Amino acid sequence: MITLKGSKDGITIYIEEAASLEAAREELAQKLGEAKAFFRDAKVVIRLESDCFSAFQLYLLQMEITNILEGASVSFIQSEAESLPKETVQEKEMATEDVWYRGTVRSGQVVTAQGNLVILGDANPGCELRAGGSIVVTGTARGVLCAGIHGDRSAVVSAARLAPSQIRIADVISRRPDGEGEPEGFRPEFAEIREGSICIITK
Amino acid sequence: MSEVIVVTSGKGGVGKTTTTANIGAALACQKKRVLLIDTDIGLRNLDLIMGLENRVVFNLVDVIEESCGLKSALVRDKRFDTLYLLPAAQTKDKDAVTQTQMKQLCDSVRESYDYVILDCPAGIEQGFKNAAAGADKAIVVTTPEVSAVRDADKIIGMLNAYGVTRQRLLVNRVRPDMVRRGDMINLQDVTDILGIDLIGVVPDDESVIVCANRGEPIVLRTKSLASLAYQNIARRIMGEEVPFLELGREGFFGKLKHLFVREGVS
Repeated sequence: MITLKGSKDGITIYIEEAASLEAAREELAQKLGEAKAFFRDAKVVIRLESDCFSAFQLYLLQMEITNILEGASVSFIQSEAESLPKETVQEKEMATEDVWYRGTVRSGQVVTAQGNLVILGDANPGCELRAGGSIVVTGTARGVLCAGIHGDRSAVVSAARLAPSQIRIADVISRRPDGEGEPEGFRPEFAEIREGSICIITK
Repeated sequence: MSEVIVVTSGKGGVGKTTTTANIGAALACQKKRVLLIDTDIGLRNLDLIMGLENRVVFNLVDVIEESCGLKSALVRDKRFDTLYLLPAAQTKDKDAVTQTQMKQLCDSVRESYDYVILDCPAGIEQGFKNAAAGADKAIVVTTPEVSAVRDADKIIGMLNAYGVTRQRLLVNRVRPDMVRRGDMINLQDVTDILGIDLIGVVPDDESVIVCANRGEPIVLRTKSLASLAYQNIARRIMGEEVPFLELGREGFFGKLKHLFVREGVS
């Protein structure tokens, strides 16, 4: 389902009829993994095209490709052949879609999920996590965590070590008090709205 | 009379952001109304140095894209009532803002403040051009190293091309011990090459790093020489005549030591 084509402008990766994002990732890892040594220290220009993924999912795949081709300098050409109606269908599907993100979310990166968002890793200071539903971080959660971005006040934010600079749930914002250090060690906590303000609860 | 001042250097790591934060705090100490604008979009640092990271909700790009009002994006400093910060966006890049937009923003805020200080990103690309577009005056930061002086020279030329001809030089991280030994580039040589007037010389001081890491301005530490240097710079910006600190001059005990050594030899 994934085809690689070389041209004078670079490489075109075409994904069609993928079963799921996860399946596409695995196949990419396998196909590009074989070529990893070949691309070492090379400049690679990639055009990623697909008839079954939304722009955001393609973005996640781009990050995956960058990770796989570690050591090469990878740049992406945006494909302009995105037909609009298809995009809106994808957006609707994403409205309930949960996102699994594996890896560290670094400063300046934004990971958005229309549904719930699960980060298998850490969220570093300066990053932003945005979810229509709740957010779960399996590692340390720093940065700005925004749950319930469409107004869901029942959304929660949870992490093995909760040390964000801000938590926003729906229209409520709270920030870390000045001078408060990070919690020592891992102690699962979650934040939710209670009586109109954000409370952090230790399980 | 309000002024828009850009703090720039060309080279990275010479202390633009630290300078901006401390000059801002020193001017606020003198009861001036000050707005600091972080124009380093994508590599936001000024809020960190000022210890205001947790309070940032909106940013420069939100204001320019009109997704929020200017007032709601400003963060007031913890210690000084007249010091405000407009933070940069961390999740966008330099192209999110144009020179015209930056100029419009500076013109719209200048009436409400005595000083608007722009923290410029390193480099000579879009970020620098944006910051230079809005400014009346420039403080060019350099360190006594050949590479930093070379880049400062380039930046002075570019500022002239942008019409920002009122420039003053700040030499940062001067090490008094090296000056004493004669191992440091001569300040006179630096000002001769660059051909602009000095606004201040800031000594290399560990407490600058300590304060920056804690998010405190060094001007509140009255015993530090760097603190005094920043306060003097603020007073020079306000138009006062303040003599320069004599770095590398020996203290009383240093002179005494020399005296004994000489006695011993003769």
